[in-house]
Amino acid sequence: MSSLILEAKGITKRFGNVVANDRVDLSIREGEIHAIIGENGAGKSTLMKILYGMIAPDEGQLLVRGKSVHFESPLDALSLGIGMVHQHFMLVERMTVLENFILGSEPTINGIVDEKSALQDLKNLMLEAHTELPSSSLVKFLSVGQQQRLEILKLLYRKSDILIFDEPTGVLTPQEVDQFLKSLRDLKARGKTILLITHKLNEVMAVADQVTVMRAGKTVSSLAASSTDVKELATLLVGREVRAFDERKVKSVKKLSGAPVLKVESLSGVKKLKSVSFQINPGEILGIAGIEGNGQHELVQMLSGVKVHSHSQGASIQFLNMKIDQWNVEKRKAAGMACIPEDRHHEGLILDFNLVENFYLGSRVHFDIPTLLPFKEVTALVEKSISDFEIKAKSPFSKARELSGGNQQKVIVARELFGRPKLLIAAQPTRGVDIGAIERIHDELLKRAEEGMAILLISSELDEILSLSDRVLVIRNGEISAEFSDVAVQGPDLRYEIGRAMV
Amino acid sequence: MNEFHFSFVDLLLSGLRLSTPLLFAALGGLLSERAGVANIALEGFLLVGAFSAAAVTYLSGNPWIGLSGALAAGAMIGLIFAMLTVYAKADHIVMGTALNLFVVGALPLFNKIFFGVTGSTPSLELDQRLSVWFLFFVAVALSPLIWFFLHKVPFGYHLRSSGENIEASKSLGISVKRTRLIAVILAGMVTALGGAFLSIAHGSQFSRGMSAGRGFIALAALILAGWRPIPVILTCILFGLADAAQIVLQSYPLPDGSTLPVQWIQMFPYIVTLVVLVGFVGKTEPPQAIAKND
Repeated sequence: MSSLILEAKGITKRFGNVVANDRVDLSIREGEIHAIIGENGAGKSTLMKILYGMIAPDEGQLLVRGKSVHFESPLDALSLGIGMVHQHFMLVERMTVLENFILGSEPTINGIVDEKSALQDLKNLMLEAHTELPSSSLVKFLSVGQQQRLEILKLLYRKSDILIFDEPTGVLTPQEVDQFLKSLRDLKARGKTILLITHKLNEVMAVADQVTVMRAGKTVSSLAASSTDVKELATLLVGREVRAFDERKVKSVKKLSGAPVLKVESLSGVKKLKSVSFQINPGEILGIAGIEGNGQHELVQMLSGVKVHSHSQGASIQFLNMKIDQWNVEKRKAAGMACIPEDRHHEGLILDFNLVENFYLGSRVHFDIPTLLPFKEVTALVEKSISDFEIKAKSPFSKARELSGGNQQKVIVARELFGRPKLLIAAQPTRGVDIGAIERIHDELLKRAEEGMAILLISSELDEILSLSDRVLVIRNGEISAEFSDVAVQGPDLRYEIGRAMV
Repeated sequence: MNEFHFSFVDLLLSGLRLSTPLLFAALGGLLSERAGVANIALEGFLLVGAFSAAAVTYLSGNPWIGLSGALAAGAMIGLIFAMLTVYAKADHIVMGTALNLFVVGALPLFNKIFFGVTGSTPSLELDQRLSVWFLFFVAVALSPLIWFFLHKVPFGYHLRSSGENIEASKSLGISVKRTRLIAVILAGMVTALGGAFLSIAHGSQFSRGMSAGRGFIALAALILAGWRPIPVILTCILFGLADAAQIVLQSYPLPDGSTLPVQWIQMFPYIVTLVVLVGFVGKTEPPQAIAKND
């Protein structure tokens, strides 16, 4: 058995009244891939920030190679060989690959950056890692997968041998995920120790040697990956039995009837969208898959009415046989459209308003006099939503800000479904939401679809698309690049084909 | 025809001369903004440079000492601006405005203390002044030097990364605050040279409001150049020419023999600035972390 390279003993960290880490213990053996799983708010990120020297623990001890250490800053961690690839990459977009590679640790000759030796180091490391990046290209022109590889190269250049990855696969295509997992195995083969923070249990099972599960700020369990399975991990994660994220509930092909609810023809946006056409039938869940930033945002804005399109040739949006191109958001809502926006903090809620106010603002077209707050009625509705959706809120008058992300999202879902819409535009409906809440939201969407509501599901999580959709469109550079029907029966087999259509 | 030809060369030369303070200020702004500190205090930096250059030159009788005085005073005002924005984390735009107003009020006070009047410093003799062309070439030579500094020296890397991505810089152990502090001090020194140009090279004294909005015009030139040190030479010359045209046009009658009111002609450089800003702001990309505090 190899020796322990990194240990945390009794780590406690408080933020005000919240205990983010409560006597956390962690033991990492040299040369292993160690996965740390936990829901949002379980304390994973806090623990990683402590290990990387970004924040200091209130209590407890860190040991690197058996020696007690105290980190003042990430530099101290770096000097002991601990490096981190953050969820949001720490790259300077408008500097070149080479500049980012050496930033902060520039080799110099007489005070001038020694680009030659830096380039040689980069080339050597790229060769070792079997990867190729254009050294003089600006980072903003790299794909997400390439940026991630640059982050790994940066750590190797800084001689890190404990590599921490924070949710590394969230933004990758299936092909890139495979390549990434392979590179983790390569790194392990070269003697590196890897900490993998993730919520994707399949990936954990695919690469990890050891798994530590965190829940509510505590480490609840640490077990060998070979002795467990996804089901057990999911149960440990949530504290009760749940359906795995990518497990499909509705497995039969739906028979759809009736006139299309939404018919979009040659929709073109100012910048992104190029002649997008599709339609959705009642009861259908149409998934839009694609790498983020390929026109999804514009599509949601134009369908929900936040942006009204200019008169481009032949473009039209028909909702229940009405031409709604020039309608504003209010009119569309009143006619039976609803929207879960992708960014709940900026578009979904006013964080400093309470739940009653937030609920009313998003649903006021459904009240008789939509200019006066029907106080009792809305309060009762919010109370009902709180119990129906198991929203954890102190009262209907709690500020939206006081709720966790998952609970905020449930408030939005309850509000948008309140008016019995005919069409729901659901953009990233479960982003940053914990597994329990995801299950609840997915169940609700499936139930409503069963009752005849059409759903346009826009998600960058392919698992989510595959587990809910009846039909899938792939959007790339603002165009529909592929269509897949009968997703219910083909399910997981489509993963790689869809992935290919994304790039 | 002959007369026209003469005036054209005259206009060109005058434009180049007048681009000098703009270029110094724009390069100062570049150092500050590429590091992430939005700098509308250039106007105040220019005035501080102009006053200190004229005052020190008059008191010492030597323009080189005056120039050093301007550099020192520029470093001081840069330090003050950096302390307020980088360390006290004040809003950059509000602080820039406040600093400009402070300078406008404070300089006459200093003038009164040293010279007994609030309006202007005593006139300098001709041999106590620096050559405008010397300073013009210094400014032009400074541009590639700053490019080299930004792209080939470790501190230049850190300066750019501090202006683009605070989190990434910090994760690599770069002190964003310290980097910005140094960048803004340098900005104060470079901009102060532009002020010295106005008071001890182009002019022979410091007078109130002598910067005449050049700090803001320099900012426009900087935006138009996309915050890049070589193109900024050209955009500053463009605005310098607009300034020169305004002066030349004042002495030319309209075809019918009448003259335009001087005030209309004097608006010319500012109208050019306005047109450029309306047309180009948002078209060139500013540093990503500009005006964001660490």
